[in-house]
Amino acid sequence: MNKIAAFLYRFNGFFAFLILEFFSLYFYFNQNMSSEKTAFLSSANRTVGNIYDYSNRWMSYWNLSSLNDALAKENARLKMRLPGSQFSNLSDSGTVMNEFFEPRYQYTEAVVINNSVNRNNNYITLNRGAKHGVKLQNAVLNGTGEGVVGIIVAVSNHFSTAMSVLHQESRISAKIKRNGFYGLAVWNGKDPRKLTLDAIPKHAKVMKGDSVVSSGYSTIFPEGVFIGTIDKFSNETGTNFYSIEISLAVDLNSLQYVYIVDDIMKPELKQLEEKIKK
Amino acid sequence: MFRNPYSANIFRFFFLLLIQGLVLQYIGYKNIYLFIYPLFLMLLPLEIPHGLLVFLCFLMGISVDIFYNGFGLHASVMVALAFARPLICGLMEPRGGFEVGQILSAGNLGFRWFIRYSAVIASIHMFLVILLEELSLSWFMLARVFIGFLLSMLLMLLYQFIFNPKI
Repeated sequence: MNKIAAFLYRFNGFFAFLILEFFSLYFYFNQNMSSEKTAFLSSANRTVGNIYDYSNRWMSYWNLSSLNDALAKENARLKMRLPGSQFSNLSDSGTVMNEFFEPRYQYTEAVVINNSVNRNNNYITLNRGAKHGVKLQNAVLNGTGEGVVGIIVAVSNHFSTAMSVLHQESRISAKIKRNGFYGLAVWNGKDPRKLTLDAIPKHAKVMKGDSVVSSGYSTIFPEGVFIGTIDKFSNETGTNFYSIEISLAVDLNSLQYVYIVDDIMKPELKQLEEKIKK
Repeated sequence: MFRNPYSANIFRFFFLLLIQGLVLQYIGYKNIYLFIYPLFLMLLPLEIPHGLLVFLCFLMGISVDIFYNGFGLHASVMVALAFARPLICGLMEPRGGFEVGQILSAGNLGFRWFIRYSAVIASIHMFLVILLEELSLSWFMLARVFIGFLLSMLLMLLYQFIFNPKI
């Protein structure tokens, strides 16, 4: 027994190294599998969330004027959409009605308290969490509700962390608005203003300037959320698909207010699809 | 400023962590990173038990991970470096040997020695972080490592100029 203790003590550095290295590499390579468990390891962690919240209170003054413009624009847009007489009835409900007048998407407003665009995998920390009804895999739209920003990947009580579209593993089901051909919008890891659109077949007619919107086939983003416009496309040989570059609609650098969107019918939809699989 | 090594290192831990998490995190252009927190590893006392050294560096790494959403990336790099530090120090030992009770700072061992020492640790650190993140080798990646390393070195030397830590 003494010998084992002496052995352990003599190589304490080596054993500490083995255990801690295994622990951290395990978390690093399994980060997407257990986001509930690793929420404390991200900036949704309560202490760091509070620090970010506090520092954001000071930093947010820099953007106030552009924010004001955006809010005024949004107000104008919303007012145009509402029939004047019904304005007061609708203003107190936080939900959007679909054509059968049943609420489908729940919008929660949130403030961006930490953001990055210049890393290989970018995340956004928001000041809304489980307590406010935020769930994993919720969509994040920008302040005007008309641009894709990311997907919630970790939720704590008061904060949540979203995987930005500028993430190597972000895949957004998208379609070309004009003709309905759909593919996947992914980030190539280099330019924070560009996405690539994969899997658009060559028989589709594509034009520069076409707008690309979310397809609504995944239960994350509502249908028709603007992603960006086609910047350039090329017809490469040896494949059946175009290679298309989209310029992003949202400037992720100056993001300050966002909406977190929860699909209320998602459990029902998932259940139905599970049934077919069996 | 500090009389005993415990308070000095505890202070340095939080100070470097906050600089890294609240300031340097927002500075950077096109995937170039700036790191100052490896200084914590470099300036820990030489006599510290190896296991404790590894554990403290793990704490530092995991704290930076929380700020950076790294999920263990910085922790694993710091643990590996902490494990290798006695080896690096042994290889770079000056002719007269290290003095007992001194930390390996520029004020104690001279700027030329410190530049060599920090260059070895900072370059390995930057290389491992970016390698783990991209999981592939390319010229673009090496350029990122090199530029980030040069800028981080400047920051670390600046820290030595300003605070000139002796314990």
